[in-house]
Amino acid sequence: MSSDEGLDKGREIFIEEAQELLTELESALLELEENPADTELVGRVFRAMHTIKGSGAMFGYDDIAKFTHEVETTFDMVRNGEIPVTTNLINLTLMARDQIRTMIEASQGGPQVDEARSKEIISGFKLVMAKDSAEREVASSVTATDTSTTGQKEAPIGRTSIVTYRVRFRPAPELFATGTNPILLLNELREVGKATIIAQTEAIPALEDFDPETCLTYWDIVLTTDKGIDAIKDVFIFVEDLCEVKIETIDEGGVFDEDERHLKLGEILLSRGDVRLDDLKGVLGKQKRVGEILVELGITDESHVASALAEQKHIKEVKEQKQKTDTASIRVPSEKLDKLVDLVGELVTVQARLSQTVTDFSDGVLMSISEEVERLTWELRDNTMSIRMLPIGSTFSKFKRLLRDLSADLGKEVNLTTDGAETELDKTVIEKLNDPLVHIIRNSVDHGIEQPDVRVAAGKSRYGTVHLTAGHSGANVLIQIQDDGKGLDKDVLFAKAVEKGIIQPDAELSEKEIFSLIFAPGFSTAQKLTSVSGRGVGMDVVKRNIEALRGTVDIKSKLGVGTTITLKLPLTLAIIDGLLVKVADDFFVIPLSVVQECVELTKEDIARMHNRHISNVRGAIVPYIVVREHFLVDGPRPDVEQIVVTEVEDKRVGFVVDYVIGEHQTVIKTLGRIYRDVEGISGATILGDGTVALIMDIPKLVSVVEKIESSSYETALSA
Amino acid sequence: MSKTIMTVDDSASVRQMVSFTLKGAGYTVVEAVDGKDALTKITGAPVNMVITDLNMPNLDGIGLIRAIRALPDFKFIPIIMLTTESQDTRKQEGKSAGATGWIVKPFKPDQLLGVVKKVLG
Amino acid sequence: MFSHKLDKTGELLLTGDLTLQNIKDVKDALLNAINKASAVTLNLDGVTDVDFSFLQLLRAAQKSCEIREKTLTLENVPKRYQELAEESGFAH
Repeated sequence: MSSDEGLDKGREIFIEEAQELLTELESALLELEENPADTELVGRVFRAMHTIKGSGAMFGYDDIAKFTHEVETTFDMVRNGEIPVTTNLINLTLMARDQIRTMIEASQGGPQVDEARSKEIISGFKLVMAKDSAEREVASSVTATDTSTTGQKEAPIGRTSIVTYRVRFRPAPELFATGTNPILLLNELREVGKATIIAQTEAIPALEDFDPETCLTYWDIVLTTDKGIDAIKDVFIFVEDLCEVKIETIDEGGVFDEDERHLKLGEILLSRGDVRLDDLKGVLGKQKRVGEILVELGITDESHVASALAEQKHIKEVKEQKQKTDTASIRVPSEKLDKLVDLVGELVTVQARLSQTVTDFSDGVLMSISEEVERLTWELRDNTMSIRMLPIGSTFSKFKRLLRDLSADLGKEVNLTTDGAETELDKTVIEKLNDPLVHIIRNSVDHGIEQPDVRVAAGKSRYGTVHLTAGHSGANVLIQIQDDGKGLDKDVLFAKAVEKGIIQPDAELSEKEIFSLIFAPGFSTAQKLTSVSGRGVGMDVVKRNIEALRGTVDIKSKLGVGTTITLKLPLTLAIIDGLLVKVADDFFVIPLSVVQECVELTKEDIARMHNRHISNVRGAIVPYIVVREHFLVDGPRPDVEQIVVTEVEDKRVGFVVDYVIGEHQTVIKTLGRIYRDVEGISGATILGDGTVALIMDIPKLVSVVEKIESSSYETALSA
Repeated sequence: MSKTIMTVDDSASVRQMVSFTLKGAGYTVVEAVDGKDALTKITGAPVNMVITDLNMPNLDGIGLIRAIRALPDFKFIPIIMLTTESQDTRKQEGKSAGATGWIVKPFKPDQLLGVVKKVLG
Repeated sequence: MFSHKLDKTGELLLTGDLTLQNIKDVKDALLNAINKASAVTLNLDGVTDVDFSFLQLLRAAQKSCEIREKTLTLENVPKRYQELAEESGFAH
């Protein structure tokens, strides 16, 4: 890799990291607004800014580094308790966060950064710093370019290795006379890294012989840090003449021994010089614990053994921590995953062919190999799919911000609560889910939640709630958006739909059907358009997007109580369980999730219904689509056909095919551009023998039949 | 209760800067213009720490440190001396006189606060 | 500021700052108590501040008591004492 490539790679990582940090920053800020006194949160904000600044500078994003510096400085002051957390500060920081994002996007070819706005935000921060302590405003601008040398060191940027040191700190007895408090030094060490500190007091005599103004204690310290040995030496800088400070490296790089072996107790004591080798040899091999024996024999004392034991424990903890972070995650570009899914798809197809071929050979050995391959293929498939799964929580946290901005715009007070943020969904589904969810939440806040005074008058809490829930339900994920707003008014919806010409004034609709009207194109129930949700597009787009994900939308509402919208989505987009059917020589796949049952359709049945694409399925009238006709497949219809009855949104629609072959695990291939606009087909799959089968888009086909339905339905009833 | 720090320097601007920084960090500050002034002001005052220049008229920093350490009430308080790079021998003298630590001039406010935190907690 | 009071039962009531400033006086009071009583109870109820020198002093006192086979008990231990013991690495 050339250095240019290395830099480019670094930039790539920086952009990715920065985006994650900005997300983290946002959620930390929003939490901070609720808990302004939470120092942990302040620390999170500071660290995010600190990292963006540091890495930004390293990769040549000087504008970002410079801009972020001001925010970092401010939060450093917040961290030190010099500036309080105020709503103003949160707002300003959120603005800064957005500006940083714009800067990153601009570097990626996005729109130009509004420099004036950057300046405005920076002066906002300067004002905050100046207002709270006029004198420090000067101070911070002076120190803007470097950091203190004797105070806390900043961690070096980039990856430095984590090293574990053993420090023996033995002050001279007259330490106190220099005004030094050794405990402060110990606390400072704790700030350098993870420290285990044990005091050794054997030098303290009995009270009558003790000069209490002398320091006769010394300390054994095990310290794990990535800040380097100089950071430790810095702690003792004032006392180096007066104290014996022995620093030994006991481990480099955070890995203790390649063969996962901890130093044995005896070895630790030996290397510290607390026991001699001969003494140690004498006791090794005895049945008791080494520590106990050494103490019993008076070779060393309990506190030295305790100290060595503490070192053992410290190292074990550090190691465990390291293993945890090592195995926690690995970052892989998503194209690689997509490629993997693709390959697994191919493998599934080939495997199906193998199984089919093997059946023809009826060879026992070959059969068992084929079965083994089948098992492994499924396992590989499931594993690959699970890699693409991501928790939906990251999307949820985005909505927190959305809701906050929305309610501020509308003068409403709305809280967002979430449940099931850990629910995992395919990465692509999550990405495509974002826009529909934004629309729904906007609608809930805009049309659902009432103004605070209206709520109070209605006997509700002035704070509205939007509750997001995610959870698994079989092969699907259910996502619910629930608000406790005013609910949908059936009469208003109905009147509106009539006015817009969506339905006839004399139409008889169930409650559910009326609610579904909000998904009709061009429907808006708000009295006047607001900047938030009244944009002409809206819930109809939501429905289309969800259906494109092979999902469904369901709506429930109670006047005055609230509305619940439920999205049902498949776990993954890449593979579906389908029902394989045949029309003449063509194969089609119907997603199994919508299939209810299969019934026969004879010529007599058709005649009985006067050729009207209606069938009587055990007493219920079910309209059907003749697939042959719809997709213009040549050839005569067989005497006995099959109706595959599907159900979408409580509507039952049959699909007439020649044969039902059976269930089929379908790896979805996207269609070429030419076929992309074919209505009613969502994709294709390759069968075991290499034949292509088309995957039917049932909701789309149903919507087509719906238009015919009403007229046919009425005729059917009169027939 | 906020801790009290005494700043001793014949330069008004240094005193000003130290005082500003420390007050901003929540400390109470007592100012003295030289060693003699400092010794007068320290008796009876609840001083928790002293930051002193070394080169001063009347009583210099080294002398002040020795004198403070001789007072029973201030035997163990932290004393920080302000030195310049070239004053290494003076620094050694200061240390043997009983100084806790030092800050090299010129310094920045947060360096000052870092040192105060280091020795005063 | 520091004061102390020893009663007949061997309870030594310490009041004020148990810090370097007063540590010699604290030592004298403690030694006196150990000399006089066979079981010493240190009542820290009135303690306003404590520093590391007091921790060392207690270790010394414990050693004395071990040698003389006397007992030393702490009472009304302030929170600051516990914290200090932790910070000082004495808690093990």
